[in-house]
Amino acid sequence: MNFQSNSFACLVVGCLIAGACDKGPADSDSRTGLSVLAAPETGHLDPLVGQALQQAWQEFEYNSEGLQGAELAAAYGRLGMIYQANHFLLDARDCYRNAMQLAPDELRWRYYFAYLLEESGEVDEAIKVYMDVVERLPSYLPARLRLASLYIETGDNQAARRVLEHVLEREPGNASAIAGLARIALAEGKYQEAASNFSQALELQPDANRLYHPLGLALRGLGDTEGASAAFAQRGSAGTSYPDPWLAELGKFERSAQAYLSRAMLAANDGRYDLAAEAYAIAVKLDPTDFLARAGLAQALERLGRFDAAMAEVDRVLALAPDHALSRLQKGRLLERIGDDTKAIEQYRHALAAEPSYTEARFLLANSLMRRGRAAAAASEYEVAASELTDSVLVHYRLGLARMAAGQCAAATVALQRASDLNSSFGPVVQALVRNLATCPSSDAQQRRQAVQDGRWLYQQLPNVEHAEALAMALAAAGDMEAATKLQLEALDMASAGGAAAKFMGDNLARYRRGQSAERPWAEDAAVYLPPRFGG
Amino acid sequence: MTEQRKTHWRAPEAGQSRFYRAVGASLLVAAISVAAACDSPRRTAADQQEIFAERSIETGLEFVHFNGMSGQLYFPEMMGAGAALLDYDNDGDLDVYLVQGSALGPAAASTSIPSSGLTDRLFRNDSTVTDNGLRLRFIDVSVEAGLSVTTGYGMGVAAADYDNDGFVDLYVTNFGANQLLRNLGDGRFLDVTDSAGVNDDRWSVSASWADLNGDGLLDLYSGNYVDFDFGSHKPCRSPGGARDYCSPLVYLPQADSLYINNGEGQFTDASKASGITSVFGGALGVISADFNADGLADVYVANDGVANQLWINKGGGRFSNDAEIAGVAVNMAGSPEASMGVAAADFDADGDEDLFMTHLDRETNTLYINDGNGWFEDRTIAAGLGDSSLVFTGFGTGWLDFDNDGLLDLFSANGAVTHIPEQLATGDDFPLKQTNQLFRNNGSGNYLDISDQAGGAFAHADVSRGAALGDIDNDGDIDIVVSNNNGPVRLLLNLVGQQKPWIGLRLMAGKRDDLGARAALLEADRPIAWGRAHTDGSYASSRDPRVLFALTEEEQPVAVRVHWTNGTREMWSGLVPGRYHILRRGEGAVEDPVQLRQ
Repeated sequence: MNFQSNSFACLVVGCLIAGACDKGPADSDSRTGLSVLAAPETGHLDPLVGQALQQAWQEFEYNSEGLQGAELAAAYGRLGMIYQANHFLLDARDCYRNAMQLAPDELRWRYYFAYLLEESGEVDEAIKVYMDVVERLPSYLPARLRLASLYIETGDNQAARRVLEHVLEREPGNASAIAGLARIALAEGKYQEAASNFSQALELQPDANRLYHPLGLALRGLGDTEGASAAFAQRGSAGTSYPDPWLAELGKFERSAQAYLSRAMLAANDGRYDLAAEAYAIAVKLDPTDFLARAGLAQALERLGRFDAAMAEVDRVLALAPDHALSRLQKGRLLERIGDDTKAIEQYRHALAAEPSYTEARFLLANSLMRRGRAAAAASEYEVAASELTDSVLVHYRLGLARMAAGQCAAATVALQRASDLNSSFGPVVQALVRNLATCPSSDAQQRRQAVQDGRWLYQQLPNVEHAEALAMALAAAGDMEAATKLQLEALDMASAGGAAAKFMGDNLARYRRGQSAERPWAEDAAVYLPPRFGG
Repeated sequence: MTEQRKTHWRAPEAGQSRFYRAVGASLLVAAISVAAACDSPRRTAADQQEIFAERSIETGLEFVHFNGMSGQLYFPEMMGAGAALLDYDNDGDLDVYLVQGSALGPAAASTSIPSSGLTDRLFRNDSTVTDNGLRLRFIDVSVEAGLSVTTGYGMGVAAADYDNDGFVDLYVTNFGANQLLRNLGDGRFLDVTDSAGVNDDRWSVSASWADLNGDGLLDLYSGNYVDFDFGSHKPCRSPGGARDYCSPLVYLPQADSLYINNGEGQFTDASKASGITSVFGGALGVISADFNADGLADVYVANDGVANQLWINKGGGRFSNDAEIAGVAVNMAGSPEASMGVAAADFDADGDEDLFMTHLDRETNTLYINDGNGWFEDRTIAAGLGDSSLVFTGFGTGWLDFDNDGLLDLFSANGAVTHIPEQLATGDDFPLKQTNQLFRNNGSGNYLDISDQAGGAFAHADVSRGAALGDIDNDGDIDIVVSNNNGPVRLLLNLVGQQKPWIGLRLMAGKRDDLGARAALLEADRPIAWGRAHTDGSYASSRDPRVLFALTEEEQPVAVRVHWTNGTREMWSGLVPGRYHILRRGEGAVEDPVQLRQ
């Protein structure tokens, strides 16, 4: 794009001739050359923002009276900061221009102006102003980092590299600078250098998880597909960060709840729940009716382990938005934590009424129903969840167990077989399938042979009590009572004495000795049927 | 505009033109006629001609999109709508289908509805050849075509002949139930959604027709967006605190749909069985092509604000998402982008399908270069496409060789999704207007934004969404229909491409276009140029399926090799330039396998 294209200049001239736009130079005070400002129009803004802007303007008008030079520049600069922090960018632009004219040596206004240009997408202009700041204040590294980043964005890798190397001379462990050099290397196809630099930046700043993506690209370029996939899997949304005191000052003037909400969402996505909770709390304070901000706060509090506070916040959300499915789910989860499955079931049902395709709610509902001993109802819910999540081993496994508990062993076989197809080496699934095939009256000879085969594989992998017992069941079902009895005795030797499990095993041993196979895969109250609770 | 705000407008300083083009273009439009008198000394003589001319009114293509806005700022109202270029009556020229909105939400009753019927519109191309050349003329045939059935809140359209009867059908995506309109061949369309089994009442935007299982029937991939309903509508605010449209991330994304064509007019919903519901985001752009050159059509889905998916066709009806390892899930820095429009073409003439995507302002558009095996590299910055889009929000897009110099250029239809404060301050009731962009491929892998040379239409700010590319006047260059939200459709006629030699191809399998088939232009002293028959891509729109090549020599007949979607390859030679040729599968010369390997 040619910023100085003549055709554009012609448009502007045309614009002026046609009177369709405003006078340009006349906006400036002919005596001082300063831009003439007017009170901001804030009628359409969030009242808090509008109030802040109006107040800033009034203070400026009152305080700037009689000021000159650097003092007047400071008044303009401060007003510009408040405007900029609240995204009133055109007005902020004028303020900074005046401030820069009045105090050319005060680099803060220049820096904020450059940042404003950068935010507005005027990259080439922003580069010029950042360069000016960097030349005059070489020690302020955040300006160098911003300048380098813009150089990279515009493809001027040579200039970017120069700036970043300068940063590293002053501060060798600067993760942002190292990541910048890595970006350049990646763009130039120097994969080894890129991978090495991204790795180093991640060592220095492990939470900068967005870097895993370009690291993955570099590893892919080196032919390390496995390493690349592992890196891609760790990608998050946080980049490197470097303290920027001047921009931090700017942020303090922000009054928009939306801005805090956005910040909180980003922090939550990055897994920084403490920062997220803090920003959500401010957003809630600025707009107490924003149930989404409250819901976010509740989620962050739960992640931080502050369950009582989370529950209180969820209740506030539901008072504002009774059908907010996510919060219903969260309330159910919190109730689960304190062992109240009955009330959790109510919440999950409410979430599903509001959002019938909310599979997570359905799965948790089924789990709660299982814990309440309502296996048939749980199986129905798992079944719907399994039809939504066709590739989920866990859901099919739980469906299988629910059907087993409900006495629907033939249907359980179908679900467990599906789970096994999805992951044939997942021990719990194989064990459940072996036990179910061995005890289900409708299993045919081939299925009983499969149970023995899978049971042997399982026992070979890990010869523990559970696996010995499962294999013994399969052997008995296949008619090999001698082997079943022997293995069941071994299992009993390994098992701790006493308890329901030992009794169940003893009963089965007796059955094998009588030439009978096992009747049930597990004891009715076996822990395997009970899905773990949240936080349990 | 109020007096107070007036004081903030002034002539832009050097370096501000792009910014002002985005935010202040509406003010500048009034002055275009004055500005047109100025000539840039920087331009060459060839450049002085306008590249595109806006000709909608003169040609009878009169349509104004109605978005139903009522002041509530409902999310769907600023997302539509698209357009399609299709030859529905098989008379050899492109007709235009335009998607319409309607009143929206509980407040619909209080919305002022235009007196004309709010249905999608079909404009028949009734061009005639006169002594002065072609007289382009469109006739609104919506009523005769039976389009009163399109009563949904329209979003997009995908055109293809799904029943192999030789007539192009339409799949219309809606905020609400989508519709499959079967072309009966007598000028009428029939809503066969229910009997076909493609009824999806989720919010869909873009869809793609492709033969995904190689059975000779076109299957349908429909991208679904987010779960918005009026009950969950949230009054969002801009970062500056003003009431504004919401981010899509406020709503839950929806899984996409894949319908496998069983023949006899029926489809099977294979969304779950195929694996495409295992991961999803809010889909906006959808395009299918054989990205990894294994002979099977894959699908690329551009998601709004979250990682994109590249569904690699594994055969047997299964797809796996390889977007991460392929490098097209997010941009090179690891950030997901807004991903509205998407285009796929072999822009670097190395025989594979590259990708271009449009995004929000403050994000660059993205150019992904294919390595030939379906792995991509983000080359946006190196190609000069980085900062040129930072102040624009792009939607419809497409690769086109507008000047027929043999290099694929780019078009981006732009329009914001959140209020532009400067327009809001002027009292604009739909302050999302931006100008569109044209990028010239300079031949060394770099693009240059030449919008300021492209014609008055590129200085006009609209809320552009869809862009359908095709040779509307059959003169051998690509024209563009731009559909604007809450505004008139724009017909951008290409005035320059036809001045260079060209050849056009329609790649047909039986009675229909073999969507996905690729043609290689074999000209001496020039790298092989590739073109692909497809109607998908862009945003919510459907393009001309024909393949257009620029030629280096006007008089010389040319040869092409066609790679059909069934895996066969055929040669044609002696094709005369300056016209369109229909190449039917099975009618070309079978290529010598030995030569092929070489």
